[in-house]
Amino acid sequence: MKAVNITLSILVLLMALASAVFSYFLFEKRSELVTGWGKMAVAINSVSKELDKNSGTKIADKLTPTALAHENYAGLDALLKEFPDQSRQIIAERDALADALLRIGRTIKLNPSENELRNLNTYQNSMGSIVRGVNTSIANRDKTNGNISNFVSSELKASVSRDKLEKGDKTALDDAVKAVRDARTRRTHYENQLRAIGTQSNAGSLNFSGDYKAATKKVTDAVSKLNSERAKLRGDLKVAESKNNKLTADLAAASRKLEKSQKQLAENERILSGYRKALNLAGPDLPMPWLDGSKEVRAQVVGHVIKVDTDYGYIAVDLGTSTRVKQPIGDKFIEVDPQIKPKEELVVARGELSSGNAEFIARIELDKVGAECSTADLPAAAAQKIQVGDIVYIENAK
Amino acid sequence: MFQSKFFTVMIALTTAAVAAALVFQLLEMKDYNLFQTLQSRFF
Repeated sequence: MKAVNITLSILVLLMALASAVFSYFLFEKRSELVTGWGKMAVAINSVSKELDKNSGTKIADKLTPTALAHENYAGLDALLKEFPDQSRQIIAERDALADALLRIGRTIKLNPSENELRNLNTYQNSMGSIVRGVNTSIANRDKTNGNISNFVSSELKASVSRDKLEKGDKTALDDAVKAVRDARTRRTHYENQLRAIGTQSNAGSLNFSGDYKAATKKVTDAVSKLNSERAKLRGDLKVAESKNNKLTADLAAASRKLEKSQKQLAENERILSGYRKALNLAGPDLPMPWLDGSKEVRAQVVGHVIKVDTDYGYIAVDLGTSTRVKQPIGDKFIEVDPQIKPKEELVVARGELSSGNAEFIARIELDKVGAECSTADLPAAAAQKIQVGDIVYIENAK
Repeated sequence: MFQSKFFTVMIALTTAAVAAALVFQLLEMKDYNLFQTLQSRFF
């Protein structure tokens, strides 16, 4: 028992010593933990203050180092509950702003990186580039609006509101749109008029939507051609006018001549009326006197064979250059020359020519034509048939 | 004194209590890695 008690006593002593050593270390550790707790409380308070700035929250007022001290461990859960919530809200706000910047960047065609916008090390560069891009876009927009404004005022002679343009007001370009529509209407009218001119001037088909210069040149060429033709026509018209004047003068002269002729005709008519009475002609018409050598005269020529010479082979007829045919005019006659000439073909016949019972005997061709008689070769086939007294006449005159 | 049964009982109970306290301290020391500190400081 004694040994056991002594052993246990020594063991207790040893364990007490070890416990004292362990207690020292644990005390030291506890001091570190308490100090660290205080630092963390201060840090949490500092972070809360930073997060509270311009955030509209007042978490730092609650998360004071005193309130977060280890002595207030029991209320720590309730206190710290708002801290992560605030952090999450700040992160959500950061992400929302990053998304907004991302969308802005994409809108202005910069295509920034989403991660770079959220990353603490890179967000400033990305944000700066987006801000610069936005500034550039606004500057470009202002330049574009300025160019539009200048173009509308100088080229279209219309007014435009820069303020309305910047606000995206649809009515900003109303005057410009009206000016463009007016120009279109005018152009359509011009095209229609040019087409009408082209149709009138034979310019061919006109396509103004394609090569409008070629189309308008067609019209101007056609009009130029018309002008030159008009000038030529004017010249021709002058010539025609001078001809017309001459013809008018000739017509006047002819009219005077006609008038004179009509007077002469009336006078002749009176004379002819006297002749009609003198010739005992009934009715207003006068027979037309035959002309020398005319068919009517030659049809009336009738002669006779006055000699047939079979020894020398010729015949003689009583027709010649002095032969005349008598044309009855009223109760008078006029003598007309049938103009008997050499080479004249005559028909020799026998019988009554006026009754149509004359017998054809032969054809002869006059060789020599005298004043009172003419001769012709005696046809061999009819040499024995032809007799003195047979009648002769001009066949082609019948 | 070492012959007393009462002492024996009391010292046994004390041993058990101290052992229990020591075990808890050992476990906490182990959690905080204080044995390494102890070694580095004393050895």
